[in-house]
Amino acid sequence: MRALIDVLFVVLVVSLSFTPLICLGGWDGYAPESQSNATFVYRNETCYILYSDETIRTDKPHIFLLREWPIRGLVDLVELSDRQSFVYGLNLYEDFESHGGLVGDELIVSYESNHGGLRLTKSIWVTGEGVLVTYGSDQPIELRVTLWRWYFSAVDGCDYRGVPQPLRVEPKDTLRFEFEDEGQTYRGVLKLSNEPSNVQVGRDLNGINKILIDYVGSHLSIKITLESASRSSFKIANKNLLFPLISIVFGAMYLKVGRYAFVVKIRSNRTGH
Amino acid sequence: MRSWLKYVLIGLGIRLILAPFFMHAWDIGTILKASEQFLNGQDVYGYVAERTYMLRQSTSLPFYYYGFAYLPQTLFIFAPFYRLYTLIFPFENALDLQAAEPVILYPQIFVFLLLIKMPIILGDVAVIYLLSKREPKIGLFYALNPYVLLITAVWGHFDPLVGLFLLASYLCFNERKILSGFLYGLSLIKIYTIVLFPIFIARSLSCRKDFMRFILGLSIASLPVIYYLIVAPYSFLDAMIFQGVRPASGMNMYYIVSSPAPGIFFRTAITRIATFVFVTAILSLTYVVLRKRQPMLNCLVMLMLAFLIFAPVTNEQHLTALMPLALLSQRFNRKLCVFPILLALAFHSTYFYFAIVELNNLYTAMHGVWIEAIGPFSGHVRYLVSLSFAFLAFRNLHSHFQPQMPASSKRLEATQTTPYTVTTGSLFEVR
Repeated sequence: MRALIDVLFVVLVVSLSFTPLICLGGWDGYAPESQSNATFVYRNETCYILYSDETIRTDKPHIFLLREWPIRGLVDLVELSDRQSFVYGLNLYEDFESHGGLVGDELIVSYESNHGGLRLTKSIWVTGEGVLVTYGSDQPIELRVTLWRWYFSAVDGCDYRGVPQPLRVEPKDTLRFEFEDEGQTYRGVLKLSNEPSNVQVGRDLNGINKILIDYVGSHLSIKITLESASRSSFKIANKNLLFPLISIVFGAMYLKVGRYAFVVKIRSNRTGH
Repeated sequence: MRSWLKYVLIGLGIRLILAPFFMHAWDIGTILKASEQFLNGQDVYGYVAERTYMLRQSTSLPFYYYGFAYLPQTLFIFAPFYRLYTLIFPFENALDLQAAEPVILYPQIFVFLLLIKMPIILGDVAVIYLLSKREPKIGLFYALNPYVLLITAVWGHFDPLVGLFLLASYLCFNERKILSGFLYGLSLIKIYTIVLFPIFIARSLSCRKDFMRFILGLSIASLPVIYYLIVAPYSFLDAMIFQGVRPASGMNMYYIVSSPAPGIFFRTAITRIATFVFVTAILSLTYVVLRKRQPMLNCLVMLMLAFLIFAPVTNEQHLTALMPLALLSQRFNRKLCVFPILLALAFHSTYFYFAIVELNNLYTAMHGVWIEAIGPFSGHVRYLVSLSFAFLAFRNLHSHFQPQMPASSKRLEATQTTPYTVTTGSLFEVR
């Protein structure tokens, strides 16, 4: 009976240890203990999105690719930072009050400026093809959206090395970009709903780290999709597998020890009273 | 000097030295806020319900605000000491301990921390006394135990008070049923001691009068609960429900769910499974220990161990509620105390708010180096420690069923089942 209870306990522990490998699709969220802000998380078989994560410390959809077995892990795709996005020169992070909430399958963030009645919304929606980020307002606005990555290897087929500032890209509704991650080259596409008024890239000494899109209008959606990934290396990178491994080793040790009569140290108390 | 007095003074001295300089910022902040609201006549539970509502409105996610979610008896314990603090500092006594980055530059914080921890320290002193009177070595062990010191004097959690109430309730159970029921009622300030309710009831049922006395004592201790159930039923019940449904976390085998996939929906799903496992384990164990007629002390220790192993939420401080009773039982594995200390030191830098800025900075820097060193495997290290605790506790639970005992232990077991009586001259004197 006792051996059976031990086995059941080990089975329970080992079963639970597989939970990190379960991929639940859709939006989810968590809040730190201070409950000052919530973080929204989206997960499906191919992508992972964080919004307003405590560790990121700013409002943004930060979009990752989720590499599948045997290459499992997060690949940083792109982030749309409010700190680098502006409406009429007003910073979305500093000069607007924002509230995020889930409405159906969408994360909708409402912004209201601190200095006036300027309002806009940003919605993040994941489709079968990619991630759709939409900016909307009830009136035409001057919007600047910045997409970050450390680093893009090329935007529109050019790495802009040695090109004099400002690094302008021909404004059009489709922009292609490339980046490398652990030996793989990824090619992504930004599909805009409307043609922007101006597109620039920014770079530092190491490479291109941002794409700036200027737009005037009341509605702009940016669909971010991955075109292809050339695989040049394979590796097993799912560190979540360590959880079941740890539990199996511990469980086996526990059962092994249990086969021998373990010694319980019974402390004989001296009662001097 | 008598040994018990020596140990009491040693334990008291160490706690008084440590208490003014450390705290678990969020939990001490919760007690501070609740005491303040209670003394101002505000609805403590209403505030928590309102914050929860706001959080849910703004995020559309089923979050709970981690505020005061304990039984109202807690307020009667801490509010007088908070009142004393405001009498000493009638002006500029506001402390914001729950700010995202609390800056500990309040000159009055040392006095506040000492006073707000005083009930817990006095509770510890009572435990040391009760244990030392029975076995001096156990009393000394409790007085000097780094784990107990961490929870009582450093963090300032009130789980050691729960441990005192349980110990006292057990010790006077045979002779003073009303007092035992009252003390058990007080132990419910942390609702998890509800797992012991069937044991107390089953052991009282042998005599109808005894049962009624126990229930009477329990009812007297529960009068504040009845009051809140009448005046603020919804917010009070909301706070209590929170304790029952809060997402799995802490120092247990379920911690894993909050590591790589921390979403509330995912955790809620796992919490339901964990709750099912927990309830099944507690009910089965209760049935077995009652059927096998285990000594009452063993029953209480085993059920608390089962709580620590299977409950969806078990934090580092919860073991202190078991410690006094468990130390009376010769079968308690004292190595269990090591794991909460490891977890506290390794993964809770944000909760170590020192009232000495330099010390705080030094600790933060050291913790940063440690987290950098273990890098992306911090969740695995934590899981390793949590699992070690779970297996060791499970093994320890088993050991309470073992029939063979040395002669000396049999003698002591007999002593323990002999009622400890309460004399009017000195509380819990052993005859």
